Amino acid sequence: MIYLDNAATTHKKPRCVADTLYRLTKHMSANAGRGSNSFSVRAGEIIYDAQEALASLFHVKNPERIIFTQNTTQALNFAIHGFLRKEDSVVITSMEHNSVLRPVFYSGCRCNVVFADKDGFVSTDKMEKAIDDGTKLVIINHVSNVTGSRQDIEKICEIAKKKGAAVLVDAAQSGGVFDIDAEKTGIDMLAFAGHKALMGPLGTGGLYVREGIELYPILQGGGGTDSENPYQSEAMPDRLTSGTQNMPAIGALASGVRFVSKIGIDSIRNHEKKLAGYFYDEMTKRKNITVYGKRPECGVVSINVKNYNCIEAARILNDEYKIAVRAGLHCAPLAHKTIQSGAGTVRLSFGYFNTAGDAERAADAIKKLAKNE
Amino acid sequence: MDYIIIYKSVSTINRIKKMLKKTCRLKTVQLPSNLGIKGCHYGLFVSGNDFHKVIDASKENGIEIKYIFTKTPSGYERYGGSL
Repeated sequence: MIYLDNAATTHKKPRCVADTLYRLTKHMSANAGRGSNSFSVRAGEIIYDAQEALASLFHVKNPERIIFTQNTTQALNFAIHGFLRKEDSVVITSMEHNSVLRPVFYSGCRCNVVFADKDGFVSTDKMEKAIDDGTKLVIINHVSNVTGSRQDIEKICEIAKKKGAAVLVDAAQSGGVFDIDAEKTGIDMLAFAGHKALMGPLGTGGLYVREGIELYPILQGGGGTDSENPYQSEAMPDRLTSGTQNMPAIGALASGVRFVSKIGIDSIRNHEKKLAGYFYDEMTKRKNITVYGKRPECGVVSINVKNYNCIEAARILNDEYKIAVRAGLHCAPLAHKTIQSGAGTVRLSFGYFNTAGDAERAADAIKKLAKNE
Repeated sequence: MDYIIIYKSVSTINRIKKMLKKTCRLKTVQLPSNLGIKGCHYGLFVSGNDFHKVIDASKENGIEIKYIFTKTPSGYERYGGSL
């Protein structure tokens, strides 16, 4: 089986990630911050190590500003519902995932959607016009899970700062793929996936919140400290961290981050870009295939084959060619409206563990499908 | 003389421990409830030899110290010295 759904979650994981997960589960299943027994203390240290690894990756000085969540969706919910009030105004883009669209919808805030162009790129001029003095928050999808298009977050942060708006970056697809300097860029909050390009286990993600931003804690409960206080602790990360943490997975995520750092973000991205680029070029040569977006900067390519519903095409690729891809709207309905894909696309997302042979086999399989149209 | 230094969170304690891993022997301890401290359950146990290293590292990195206690044969006392 060839796995080309790395934008959903990466497969395979590095050996060090699996080893850490096993070792910590078997030998160290302790609850961090619950007492001063040696196991609990060590569990807290392992979580701190992971905070430090992520802080280093995103160029954040204080690791305590990193919290761990189950995924990017949870991190985005913490940020959106913790930051916005009903009377606030927010600017988002049409490339956002439902993990942004839905929380913003539920927040009841006034929302201005800036549409990207047909290739999935958001104009900074349009953003500048959309952000006004009343905008409390700008939410920007850094790299699209549909087209792989990357937005100019540096420029958007600069515009937002001038207007006094905070910026939340959805780095689900870009964390570990592009170098993100959160502090230098002026990012106020950054939500990331642990289980995608950072190679961590499923069920890992997190949120960076810059110093000075105090989020309302939407998850409330015990954290092992400040117990007599009826309210959540004001200190980070305790303020946003209630309940037992998945320490073995967080420890394994740190192993994934170290793996990515050792290989190098640029090396990994260049490998994925080469595979996706080859595939993209092969697809654009065929008249019965529609390719969405520009030649990819990372591993994501979306296509459609004439006369095949995308879901049917994905089923055939899985059943007859043993190629695992993702079809449909990819939880990003406005992005598909933007690129005018109709009922969705077949998305192939290449990862570090894919080979040139995988890209060739995928291209050949789709060419055969296109011939049969 | 030994000390217990109290920070705002366990994560902060781990930050200091990591910073001084090679030079100090530091230990996380649960605070005795009779200290009368509200809002903190954990502290950093520091020997007299390492005390100023911990204080200096905290200051250099802008890490707030909430309380300091000295350990005496009869229990704990609020640290009265100058930092």
